[in-house]
Amino acid sequence: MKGVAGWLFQRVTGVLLVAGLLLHFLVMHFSGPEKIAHTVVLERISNPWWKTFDVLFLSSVIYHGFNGMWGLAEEYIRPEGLRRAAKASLLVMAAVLYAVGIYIVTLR
Amino acid sequence: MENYVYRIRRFDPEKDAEPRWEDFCIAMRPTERVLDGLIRIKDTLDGSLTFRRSCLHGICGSCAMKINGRNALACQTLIKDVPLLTPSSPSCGHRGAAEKAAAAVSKGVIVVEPLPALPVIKDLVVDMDPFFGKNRLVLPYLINNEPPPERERLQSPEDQHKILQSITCIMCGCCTSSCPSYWADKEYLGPAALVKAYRFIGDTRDRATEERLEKVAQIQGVWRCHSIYNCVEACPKEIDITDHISKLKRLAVKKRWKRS
Amino acid sequence: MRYKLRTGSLAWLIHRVTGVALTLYIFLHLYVLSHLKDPEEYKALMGMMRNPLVRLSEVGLLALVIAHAFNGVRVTLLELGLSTRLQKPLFWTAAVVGAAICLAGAWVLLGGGH
Repeated sequence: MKGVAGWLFQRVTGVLLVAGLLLHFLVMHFSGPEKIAHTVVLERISNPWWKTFDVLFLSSVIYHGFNGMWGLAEEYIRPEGLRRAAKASLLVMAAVLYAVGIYIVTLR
Repeated sequence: MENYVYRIRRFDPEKDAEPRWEDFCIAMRPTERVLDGLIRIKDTLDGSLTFRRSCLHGICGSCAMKINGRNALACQTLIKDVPLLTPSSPSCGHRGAAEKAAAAVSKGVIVVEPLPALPVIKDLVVDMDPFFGKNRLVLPYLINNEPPPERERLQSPEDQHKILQSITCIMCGCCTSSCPSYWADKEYLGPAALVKAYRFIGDTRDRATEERLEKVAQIQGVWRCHSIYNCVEACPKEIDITDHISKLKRLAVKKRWKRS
Repeated sequence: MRYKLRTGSLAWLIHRVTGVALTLYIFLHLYVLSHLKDPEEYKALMGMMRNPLVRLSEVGLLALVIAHAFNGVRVTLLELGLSTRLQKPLFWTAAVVGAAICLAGAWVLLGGGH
């Protein structure tokens, strides 16, 4: 049985993202512009709880987004070589984004 | 009687390089069926018009086609229920007085095309082999190697009820050829084959659930279904196909975690 | 493929398009945040965010997120066994509630609250 875990994990990360986004929007974008000021943001990411949230959130976003793109490649790109190339480049993009994300979260 | 334009997607492999459109004007009663019009066109206007039909009563599944943008059985679709397109200068009326008269005041256009995503053989006739091939992949027969009882293998009415909907499938192909996932990837098993798999997985007399689940819980199996519901809209037997596929997805998840 | 668009296929199409757009947005978002390392650069970028056009595109982003999230919840519930009869009502309910949230979000993002 192939694809069970991928399908299930897409749902699980989806639900996590709905909850995470709610928090993300409320705290960072709907509580006044000072919440995204430089010092405030750096102070927030230095908090271990926020760090945990950020890593989990980042992982969910990248998995969910790129698993979705992976599915599109599987479904729509029929020539096998092209499909493989597309999937490989998706993997590279996901890895780079994840590295950048971790770098940001660990700035302080 | 009212006048209608049948705009039919035609293809003759011996003459046409590409499919083409042809208009036919005929008078019909609104309570007649789309198939009645096709039969009348073949009888009175153009004998070369080619389409499949057999039982005329929604049982054989031969006359599945795309009617004004949606898949349906032509024998089960009444003219009055077709959302008519406005007549845009029909180019018919050159086959005699009757058609000329019918072309005069038309109520609307009925667009008839072969089922999507299946190879066209001629006019409205498509090659169903890719469709039936998917069906064979899910082992569409009862598997039970236990010694047979003296008479038949019994099933309680309650157990039969669980698979009642999936049993009513007539394999017309309306669902699979209406599915955007199938359009994109012809290797996808498609709704019809998945319903067939459910019909045996849900059968209490069958013993090959694991084996069959292994066939359908695949990337090009149940996980290709994105709950688009085109199949449910198209099914002439009103089978809740997406719900059946969802049940297979949940069953696969359960089995996967029980195994490990 | 010319095929009649119905509620379910419309929802699926929106889900695909918004999904791709949101994945691409991750690049932009992380690019902006990577400037956190330099306070001056970050402040300059945040200054740009006050541009009304950027504010407006933030409302668009909120709309993408809401559309994708609501339809994701809808499909998940349906796959968990919610009746097919509810697939259309759920879509339209999500559309109305989502539009209301977007309007409220636009009010805040465009500075109506301050």
